[in-house]
Amino acid sequence: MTTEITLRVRSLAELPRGIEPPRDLWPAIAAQITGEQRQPEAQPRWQWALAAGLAALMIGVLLGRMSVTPQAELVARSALFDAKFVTQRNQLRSSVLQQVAALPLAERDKLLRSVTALRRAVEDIQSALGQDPGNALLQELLVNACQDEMTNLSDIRNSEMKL
Amino acid sequence: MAASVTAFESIYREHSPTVFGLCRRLTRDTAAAEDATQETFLRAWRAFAQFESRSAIATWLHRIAVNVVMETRRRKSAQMLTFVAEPLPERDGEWVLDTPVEMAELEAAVLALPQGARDVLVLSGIYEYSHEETAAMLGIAIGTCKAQLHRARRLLTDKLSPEAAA
Repeated sequence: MTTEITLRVRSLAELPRGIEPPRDLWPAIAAQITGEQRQPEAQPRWQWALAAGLAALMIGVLLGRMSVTPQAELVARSALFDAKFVTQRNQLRSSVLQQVAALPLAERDKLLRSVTALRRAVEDIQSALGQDPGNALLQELLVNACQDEMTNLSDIRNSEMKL
Repeated sequence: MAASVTAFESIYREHSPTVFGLCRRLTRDTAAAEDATQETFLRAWRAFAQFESRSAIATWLHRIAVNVVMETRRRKSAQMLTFVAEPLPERDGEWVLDTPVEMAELEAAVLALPQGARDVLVLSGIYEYSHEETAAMLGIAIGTCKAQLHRARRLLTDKLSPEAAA
């Protein structure tokens, strides 16, 4: 025969602070931690690809500035829309937007405003370059705007990974 | 601070009951509390390098847990939380029942409290955080925190000692 002891209390401080979870949550946590530990190995390659894309962009712009012959303009323009660079940027952008979507409203709005403002700046400069492809100032502005956009996206992505 | 998975597991083993207890009381749902506990420890792992050893690890984990629960609530409901101002208590002593009640009865009465009052009561009454710490964790004003605690205690008294309320 067992006797059940009923504990009686008079204050909140007497309640136990800890409650054992009904199941062990550690295996799922450990699996995610281990998965995240593997990711940094791939990050340098991703960053190198971005750097290579930006380098291609700058070489293209330099070529464009050295000569305004139709062929050089073509090289510059093809570099400005380097497919690999655009793909990397789009991937980073969509990953950041997914992360931002999980944030509280105020923080999300603030980050989205900065991301959108930089994207618009890039698009505006690209549009101006479409009308004046040989304009060295616009080309330089575009490189700077692209760099600012990438830095902004990378900063958001890295800061979101921390917490 | 280099964090090894083994060392972090020992932190999980030591602190998961209080983190789960806190999440369970704030969410009133076992599955949601499990998710919140898991997310708390994942965030703690990611931010472990920034952990300042001068602050207690339990407090640090509790802050993360409260953030996780609050974020989940905000995602689930876009409704604005409204708070009806109530008079502040004149004294802020410990809340003690005249007649002891069963532990399960008190726990159930706490869980039955309205969300805002329950949040404050759990953090300051059970986990014994100060008004300042509780208000900071919940992102509310200290005055609101005191008023919610007063409200929670009054509701608990009404529920557990009807004769006192009469």
